[in-house]
Amino acid sequence: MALKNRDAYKALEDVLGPDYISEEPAILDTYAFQWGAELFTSTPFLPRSGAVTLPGGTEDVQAIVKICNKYNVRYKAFSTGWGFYSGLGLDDTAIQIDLRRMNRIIEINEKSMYAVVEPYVISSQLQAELMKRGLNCNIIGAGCNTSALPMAAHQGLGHTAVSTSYGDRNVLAVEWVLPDGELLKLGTLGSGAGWFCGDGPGPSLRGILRGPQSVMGGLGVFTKAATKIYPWYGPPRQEVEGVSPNYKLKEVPKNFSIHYPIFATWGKFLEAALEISESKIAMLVDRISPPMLAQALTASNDEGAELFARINEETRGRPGFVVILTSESDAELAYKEKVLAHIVKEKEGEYLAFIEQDDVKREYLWMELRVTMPLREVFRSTGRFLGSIGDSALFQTSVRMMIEAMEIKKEYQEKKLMRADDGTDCIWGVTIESGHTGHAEQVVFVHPTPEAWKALAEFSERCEDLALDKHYTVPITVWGDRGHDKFGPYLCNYHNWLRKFKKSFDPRGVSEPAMYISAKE
Amino acid sequence: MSVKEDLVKIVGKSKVSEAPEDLDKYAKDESPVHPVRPRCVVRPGSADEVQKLVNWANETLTPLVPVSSGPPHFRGDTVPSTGGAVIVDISGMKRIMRIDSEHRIAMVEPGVTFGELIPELAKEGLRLNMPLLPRATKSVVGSLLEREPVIMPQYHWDLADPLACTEVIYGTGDMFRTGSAAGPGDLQQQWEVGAAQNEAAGPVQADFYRLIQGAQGTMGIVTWATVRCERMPSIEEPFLVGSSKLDDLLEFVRWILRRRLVDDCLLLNNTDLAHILATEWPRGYESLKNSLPPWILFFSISGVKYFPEEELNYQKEAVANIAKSLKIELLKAIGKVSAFELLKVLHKPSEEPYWKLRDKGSCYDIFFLTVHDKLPELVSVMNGIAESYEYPASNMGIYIQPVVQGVSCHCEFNLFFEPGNPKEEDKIRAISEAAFEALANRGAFFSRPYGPWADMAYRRDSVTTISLRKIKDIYDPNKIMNPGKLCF
Repeated sequence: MALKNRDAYKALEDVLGPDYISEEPAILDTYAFQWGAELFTSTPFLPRSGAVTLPGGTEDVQAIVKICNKYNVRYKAFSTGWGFYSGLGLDDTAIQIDLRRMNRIIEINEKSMYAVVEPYVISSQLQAELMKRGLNCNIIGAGCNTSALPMAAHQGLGHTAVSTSYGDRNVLAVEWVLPDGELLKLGTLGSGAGWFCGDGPGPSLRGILRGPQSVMGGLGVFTKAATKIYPWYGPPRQEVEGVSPNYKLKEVPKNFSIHYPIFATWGKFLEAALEISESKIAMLVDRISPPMLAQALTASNDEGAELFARINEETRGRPGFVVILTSESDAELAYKEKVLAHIVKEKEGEYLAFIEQDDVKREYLWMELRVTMPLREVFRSTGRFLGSIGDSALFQTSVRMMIEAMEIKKEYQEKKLMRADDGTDCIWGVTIESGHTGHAEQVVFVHPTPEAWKALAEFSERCEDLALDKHYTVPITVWGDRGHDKFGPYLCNYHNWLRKFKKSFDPRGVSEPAMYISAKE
Repeated sequence: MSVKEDLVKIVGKSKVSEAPEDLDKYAKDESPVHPVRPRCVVRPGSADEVQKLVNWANETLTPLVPVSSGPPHFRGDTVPSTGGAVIVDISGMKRIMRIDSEHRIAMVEPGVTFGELIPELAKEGLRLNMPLLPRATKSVVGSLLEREPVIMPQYHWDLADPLACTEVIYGTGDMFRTGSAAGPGDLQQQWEVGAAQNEAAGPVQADFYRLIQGAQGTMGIVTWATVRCERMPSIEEPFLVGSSKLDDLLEFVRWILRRRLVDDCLLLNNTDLAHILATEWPRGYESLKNSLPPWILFFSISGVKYFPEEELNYQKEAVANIAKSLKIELLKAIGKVSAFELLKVLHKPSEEPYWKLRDKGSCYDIFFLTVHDKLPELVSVMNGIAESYEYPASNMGIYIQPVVQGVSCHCEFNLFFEPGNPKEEDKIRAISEAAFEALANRGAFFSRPYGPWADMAYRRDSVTTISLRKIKDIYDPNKIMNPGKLCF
């Protein structure tokens, strides 16, 4: 399979040179092989794109986009790529734009607390540089090997959202190749004032840049962005020991602590999570379910099952979450520990003793700080996962919806269409910005069989229906024409406005709309 | 049917006025924009009436100018730019619709002022992250929509804060709810499931609220908004720091914000602080000003719910350590100003008369966003411009507000002048025009360009201008919403 439009291919090759464009099937398959592809093709592969291009900078991206407009070839940009989001909708009439050559940290402004990155800067790369300067960044839940660009991810929520917010709120100025190839410089950048603000003059075009979900390649290509950064109280360099995947910090950094409080009921769990978040003591409030915790801390499924049983013995089904406290002084940590203990006691909870062990602390703390666990946490048990994924509105409503989703999940577990031996509660969630907002999702592990994928799609749709029927928050499985046409009529017809944005900014419809919205009437 | 008859049919006879004395109140404001008398003033009382008005304006192609705050107005955004406009004065929509203490959120109509909302929030143990001493008539919703800077930068995560959700009637006449208020379900159904219209983002793949914020009423009319609130502290301790050098204070501010140690945090020059606190004019003002150093930093530390004194103490200790390392002296009083007195003043709207009008009767503000590093140079440039137009720099108020948790700063120059004095008004106009180019060329960002600044701001950024016009075409294809403002 090769790009059907040969004139377009030739034009792209002329601009990029033969080294930076390919239509080799083996190369294209490396992009088409994506987690979740089975939902659409019943195979682990999405359809191959016609070609992949590797621009070296903004001018290359602009040239590619203009050629695509000229020859009516759809394109989809790909930063670090993660799942079917990266290539859905492509075929031999469209191209993939792989931004891996654009991997520079342009600026770290310590005084104004922002960093400017290109799309292929990964979070661990940025975080390592920031930690040397006493700073840190939001790392998305997908892990530290993903793009640090605050609008590259599907949603962009990370484990430390209580203290580092998330992509939608961390974006400052942006360099953005619009769908027609024009270069938009958001906010201060467009006025020649630097990178510190993405809003104005007047109304903020961040309004169309993304929402709780990003536009996922459907509205041009982001080539650079400034992101807010946050304080870090740990050492400039983390000393770790052990062998992959069991890295541990050599010691718990001074004035850091980690606990996993558990509570008798979900009601107490929610009250405690909100009180802890509001009290501003926590760097991290992260609802990791026992199965995910067990998987993250082990190197094989057997070990994971064993650990899950051990943790379960202690929790006896009581829900809990991880809390990390950080501080700059002994007095500050003492205060934070005291408040945490008080809230846990007040809500009739207790710390999970398993996490209180020094070696577990050293291992899990590193995982949470660097966000190294997602591969083991969600991929190892069956190789595939998905679920019902909430919005970013309220932690309470999101968690309540996911508790209801557990009942739906049980039906599939009983039919052995979803993994059941690690329990039903697999809720991941975080509070955001001191608990002002929050997020939760119900994670599901499936063996990659056609029946299981069908069950997963059905589960996801039933959770969407649950959100509509009970007036819960919008799940972030809502994207593309199907999702928007389903939810739009229940949400002030927002989909009609989104379509107008798409039509106005992408008149030829070449920025691949499968994960965003098409301009169809 | 005449225009008046049409409007009476929508809102009732008592809510429509063509009386010249009424129209003249909206024909000009304190800014140097050209006066234009509107054709009529209409005062709707509900979202339904607003929607009918917008539909009528589309049918008759009549310009609408929304106004949510009471007078005096300062920025020209509520003065019509074209003849034949109808003023839609929504300052009478005054319901505090809901205060949700659990979720720290309040829902208000556009006519609700700070003075009206603050005591109601206090009853629920909440407080607002509010702008610096808004005038008594200032609409909370108006302030949120204008992206006014707020005085507690720690809680200001995003430049759009603390605005959460809105209900808006777009220029097309369509009603829309932004953020989590969009649905699923109506407001009552959302409340029943425990939701709170607290998430500004969305729905889904756009942040619709960002497109109406900063729009000066050019995209639609907001009929309610929710505002993010913070818990009222149990204990607070304010501090003052004085200096003759702005740089010294900025370095200290940078560190206390980075550590998230302080609540209120703002810098004023002695002219502005004396304007705020003086009670006797002119002698009291002069005496107060002369007792102050050129620059004053005000900040406060708080303890909220759990062991508040201990919370306060560890933060105090941390602030003291930073101060010691930078050789900064923390004070409870400077000259004739007490930190506690200032704390009390700053958490309320301005006493009457409005603090910017007490001296000469009027004030023109020049403001922009910048980063800490550039501030000293920008202040120096502005001082030079003022002096070059024979406006003594020492008479100019300066207010510096760190925003977005310290990422950037709102910098505001307050030029006090005598209204009705053509010589003074010409001087202010000339300073304003000269200042824009000089400051923008050195990195000042006019993110909220009012009046003549708009043309100057958009001339610097053509792609943004074109993109915003596309949005305008979507939301207001007939260009009925406050035409002539921004780049529309």
